[in-house]
Amino acid sequence: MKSLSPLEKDSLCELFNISLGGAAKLMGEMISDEILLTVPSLQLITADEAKKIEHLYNQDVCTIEQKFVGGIGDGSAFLLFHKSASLEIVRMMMKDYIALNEVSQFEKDALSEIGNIILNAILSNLAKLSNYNIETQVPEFFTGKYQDLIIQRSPQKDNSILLVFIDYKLKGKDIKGYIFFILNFDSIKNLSRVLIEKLKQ
Amino acid sequence: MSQKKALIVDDSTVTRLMIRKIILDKFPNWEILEADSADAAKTMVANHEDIDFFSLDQNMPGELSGLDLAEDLKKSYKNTKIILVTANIQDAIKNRAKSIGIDFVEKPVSPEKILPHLD
Repeated sequence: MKSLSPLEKDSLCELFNISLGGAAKLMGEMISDEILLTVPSLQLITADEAKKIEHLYNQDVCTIEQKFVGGIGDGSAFLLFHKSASLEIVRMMMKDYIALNEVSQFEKDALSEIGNIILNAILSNLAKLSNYNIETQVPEFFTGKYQDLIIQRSPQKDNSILLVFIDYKLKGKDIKGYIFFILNFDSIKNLSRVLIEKLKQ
Repeated sequence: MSQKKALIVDDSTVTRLMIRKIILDKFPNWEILEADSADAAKTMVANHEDIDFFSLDQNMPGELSGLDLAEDLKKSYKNTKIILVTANIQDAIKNRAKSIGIDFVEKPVSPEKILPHLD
């Protein structure tokens, strides 16, 4: 299994930390609530290891995937919620824009838009901090068992996955969500090198 | 005085709904047109004259982006207000919007972000 040096790992953690601050603020704006984010935990793991993550394995989830291409490498970013939380999040987002009994029919579209806004905010910040151009594609929404959705849809060129495992919590609500970034190892290594060079300047 | 028209172009139904409500709460007499892609927007424009305000998403299904559509619209709507409403806040997108001569609005939308462009 390939690995990152402590310095490489630290530089990536810092990058995601900065990017997430902006994303949390946007999510707070959308749902008028305070978002508590954990410090990002970075793991380089195989697809098999990713399948077995505690609290997610065999759970019904909704996920929004945003594929990206560019100098950072080709990869996917995922925003993931437990299925049971998704309707509540849509209700909070749509407020008085639609009637409560209409919420379910807008669930997929509303969650896709939340994913689009959050993941783009993070990717835009990554681009800014690394000086790489990143092109994002239209977000896609999927629902099903966690291990089927995340792993089967991710690139596995060298069978290693960077899992930036962040969970966030809405204040006063029992809703948790997760953000994943999946890139191949060479892209991850390259990104950390660029960041370290920038930090030295 | 003729009724004003706005065209909202976004593949997200909820964003179109939100922008529609923001406009109609302030200007109840406006006619709101909607399209879910740049191609659909071009058809809409061909069938409606004198649109007074365009709100364009950047990333949509199809060949054309919001900025591509804006460039096209500017040929015949030189003095009409066009805003790019997008979650993609990269400098390259902002700079291209500026060079085309349209305003940039960062998602998520809110009355505070949309209404100043309508006054």
